[in-house]
Amino acid sequence: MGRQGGTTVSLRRAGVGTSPRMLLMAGSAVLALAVTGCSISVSSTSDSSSSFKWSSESSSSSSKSSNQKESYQNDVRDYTEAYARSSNDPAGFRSGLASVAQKHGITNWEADQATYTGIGQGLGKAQVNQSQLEVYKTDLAGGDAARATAMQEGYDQYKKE
Amino acid sequence: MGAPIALAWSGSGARAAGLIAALFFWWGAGQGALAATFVDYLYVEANEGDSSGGHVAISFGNETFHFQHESPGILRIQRQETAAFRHIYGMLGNRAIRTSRITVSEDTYTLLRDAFVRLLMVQDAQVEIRDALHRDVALIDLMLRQRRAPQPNTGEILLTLTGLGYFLPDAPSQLETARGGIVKKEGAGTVSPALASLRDRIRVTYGEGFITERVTRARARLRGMEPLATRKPLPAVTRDRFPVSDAAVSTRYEETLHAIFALELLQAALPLREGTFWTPDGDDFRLEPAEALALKEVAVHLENDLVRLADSPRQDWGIPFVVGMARLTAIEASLASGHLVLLDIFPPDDQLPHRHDAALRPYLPRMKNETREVFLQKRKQFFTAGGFREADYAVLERSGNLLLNIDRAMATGTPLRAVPKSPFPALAAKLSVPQPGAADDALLERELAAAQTAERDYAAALGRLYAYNLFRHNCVTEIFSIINSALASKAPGRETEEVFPASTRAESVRRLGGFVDAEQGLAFIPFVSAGAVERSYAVVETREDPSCRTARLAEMKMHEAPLKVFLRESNTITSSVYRLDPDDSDFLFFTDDTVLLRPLFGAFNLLTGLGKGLLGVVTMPVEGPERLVSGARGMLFSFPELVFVNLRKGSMAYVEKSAEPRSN
Repeated sequence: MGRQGGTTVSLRRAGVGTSPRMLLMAGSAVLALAVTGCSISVSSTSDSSSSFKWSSESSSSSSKSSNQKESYQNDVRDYTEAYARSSNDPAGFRSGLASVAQKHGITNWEADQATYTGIGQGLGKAQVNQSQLEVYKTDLAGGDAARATAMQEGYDQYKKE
Repeated sequence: MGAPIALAWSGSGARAAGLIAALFFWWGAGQGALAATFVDYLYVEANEGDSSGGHVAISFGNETFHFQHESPGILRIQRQETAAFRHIYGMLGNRAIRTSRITVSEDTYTLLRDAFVRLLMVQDAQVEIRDALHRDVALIDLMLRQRRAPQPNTGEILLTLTGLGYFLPDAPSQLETARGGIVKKEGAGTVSPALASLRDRIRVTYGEGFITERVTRARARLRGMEPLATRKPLPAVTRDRFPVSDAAVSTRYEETLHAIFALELLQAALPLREGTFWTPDGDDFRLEPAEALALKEVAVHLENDLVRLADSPRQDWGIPFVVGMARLTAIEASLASGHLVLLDIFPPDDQLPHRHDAALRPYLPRMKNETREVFLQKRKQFFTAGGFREADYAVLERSGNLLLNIDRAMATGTPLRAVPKSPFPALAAKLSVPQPGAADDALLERELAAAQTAERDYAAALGRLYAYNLFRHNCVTEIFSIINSALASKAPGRETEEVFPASTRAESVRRLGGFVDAEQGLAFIPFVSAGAVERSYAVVETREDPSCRTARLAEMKMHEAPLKVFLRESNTITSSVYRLDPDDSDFLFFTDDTVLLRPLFGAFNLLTGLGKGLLGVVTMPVEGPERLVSGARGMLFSFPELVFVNLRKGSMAYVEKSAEPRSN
C-alpha cells in the first residue's frame, strides 16, 4: 500500500456514514471547514501570513528549460483558444497574452518563438479557419516570416480537417 | 510504494464495464499497446490552519488544480506544479495526501483538463478586469484629491510605476521628471555604455529622430487622454466565456507613462541606481571565460530584441523595455567585473516579520545548501543552452536572488526578505507624473462615481458566480461541478432541466467508471469525497503519502527503538522533527499517531490552550490579542481529540526537497 506509518483513516475500511467515529470526523471536518473555509495552507503567492514558509518555490526548481518552454507554449495555446472562442478581434488579444507571458517570467513575449507556436496551436484548437489565422498572422507576426511559419505549424498540429 | 493496492468495485454493470475498460487501458500501457492516461484525485488530510477540514485537488500529470477561498469571498481556481502542491501541503503543511488514480482515455483526459484550464483562463481574466476597475477608481480619486489639495495644483500626481526603480529614485519633489526629461536631472557623465550602444542602434535602425518623435507622440497621447471610466458595457460574467474588454483608463495611462520613461531613460542611457542590484564576489558567481563569451552573446541577443521592441505595436511595450534595459546594464556590469551581477528582484523593505524570520533562522544553513544547488543547476542550464530566452535568464536571475538573500541574512543577521510575488524584476519608483488630459472637478466626480459603480457591480457579479458556500460551493464541489459539466457537454439530451440528467451520469460512467455529485449528501466534505471517488470512479490505484513528520518518524524507527522515538517525538518540547511554528497554536502532544492516548493527550493540549488563553487575557493590554487568539485556537483544535478525532498535526517552517520521502 505504500503507507509509511500514521493513523490516517482508511476511507474504504471506515464505511462512510455507518460508524460513529466517522460521524465525529465528519462533524469535526465541517466545523473546521466552517471556521477556515477552503483556503490554501501555504503558498508562495498567497497573501496569507503563512507566505513566509520557504522552499515551496524550489519545489519546481528541477524543471528543465525545455519543460518550462513547453509549459509556456501550452499556456499561450490555452489562452489563445479561450480568447478565439469568445472574440474575433485580435486587437484585444495582446494584453491578455502579456499577462500569460508574465506568469512565466517573460515580459517581451514578441521575442519568444514559443509564443507564436502557441498562438497557432490555440487557433487550431479553437478550429478557426485559415482566413482567420491569416488575420492573426498579419496582426501579430508583423511581416516576420519565422513568426508566421511558427503560427502556421502550430495551427496545423491542432486543426482538424 | 506505488503498487496497485485497491480496486474500487461495485455491483453496477455499467461501472464494472468501466472498470474493466480501465484495467484494459492500464494493462495495455504496461504492454506498450495502448497509451494509458491517468487523472489523480488528491485528498489532503485536515490540519490546523487554513483548509483545516481537509482539502482536495485534481492532478493532470504535472499540473494540479484546486480551489482556494479568497478574500473577499470568492472561490479561485489555482494551478500549481504537482510537485510544488505536494511539497506545500504534504511537507510544509505536514498533512498526509491520499491519491486515487483514475484511468481515463486520452479523449477524456483532454476533455477534463481543458475544462479546468478554461475556467482558470476565464477567471484570471475576470479578476484582472476587477483589479483594473479598482485601479481606475484609485487613479481618478487621486486626481480629484490632488486638485482639491490646499497647495497649488501642479497638474501632476505621485504615482508608483513598476520597474523604474532600477534607474530612478522615488522623486516626489522632481516634478519635471516626466515633462522636462531625465538627462538634466541626473546630470551628464553617468552613462551606461550598453544603453548608449542600444540608443545608437535604435537611431541607426529607425532614424535619428525616432526616439524624440515617439516621446512627442506619447506625450500628446497623454495630454489627449480623458480619464473616462468604462464607457462600453463590461463583458458578462460567466464561467465559460472568456471576457474581452477594452483596456481600463488606468492601464492606458500607465502604459503611456512607461513608454515615455522608457524612451527618456534610453535617451539618457542611465546606469543602474546604487542598491538595486547584487554584485556577488563568491566563486558561485564567478564567470569562466567561456561563460563570459556566452554572456556577451546573450547581450547581443537582448540588444537585438530591444531594438525590435522599441518599434513594437504593443501598447504596453514600456515595462518590458525598461526591464530589458536594466538587465542589459546588469550583464554589462557582469562582463566588466567577471562575476554575475543580477538585478535585485526583492521589493525594498519587504522583510519577514520577526517571528517568521526567527522560525526560519535555525534552517538557514540547509536553506542555503538547497538554494545554492538550485542556482548552480540553473546557471549550468543557462550557459549550456545557447541563444537567449528571457524566461531562462529570469530563472537564473531569480535563483541567484534567492541564494543571495539567504547569504545576506546569514552574514549580516538582517531579516530574510519575502519571496517576491512578481515573476520579473519589478522594483518600482514613486514619481511625479502629469495627469492625463485636462479634466475639471465636475468631470472627475462624475467619472469617479461611474468607476466606483462599475467596480462594485463587477465585483458583485464575480461574487455571485464564484460565491463560497460551505455546503454547496467549496473546494470539493467545484471540482466535481467542472468534471460533470464537461461530461454533460458530451452527453446527449442536454435540454432537460435537471442539473445532471441521466445522460450525464451515463457519460460519467462510460468515461470514468461512475458518477459523483458532491452536492449530494456529505460528499462536500473532503475526506468523504475521496471515499466517493474510490467507490464510484475507475480507480486503479490508491496511494497514501505520509505527512512530513510521520515519514520522519518511520525513518527514525528503523534505526532507533520505537518506544524511544515515541517518547521523544510525541510532544512539542522534546521533538527533534518539529519546531513550534509561529502559525501553529500552542499544543503539547501530537495526537495524529496515537489513537488510544488521543483523549488523554487532547486533555493536556486543551489545558495548554487554556493556560495560554488565560495568559493572553492578562497580557492583552500590552501585547495585543495574539496570545489569546492562539490559546483559543489551541483549545478549539483540542476538543475533537477528546473524542478520538485528530485534526491538528503541526506544520513546518521549512523542509528541504531532498528530505522528502520518495514517491512515484
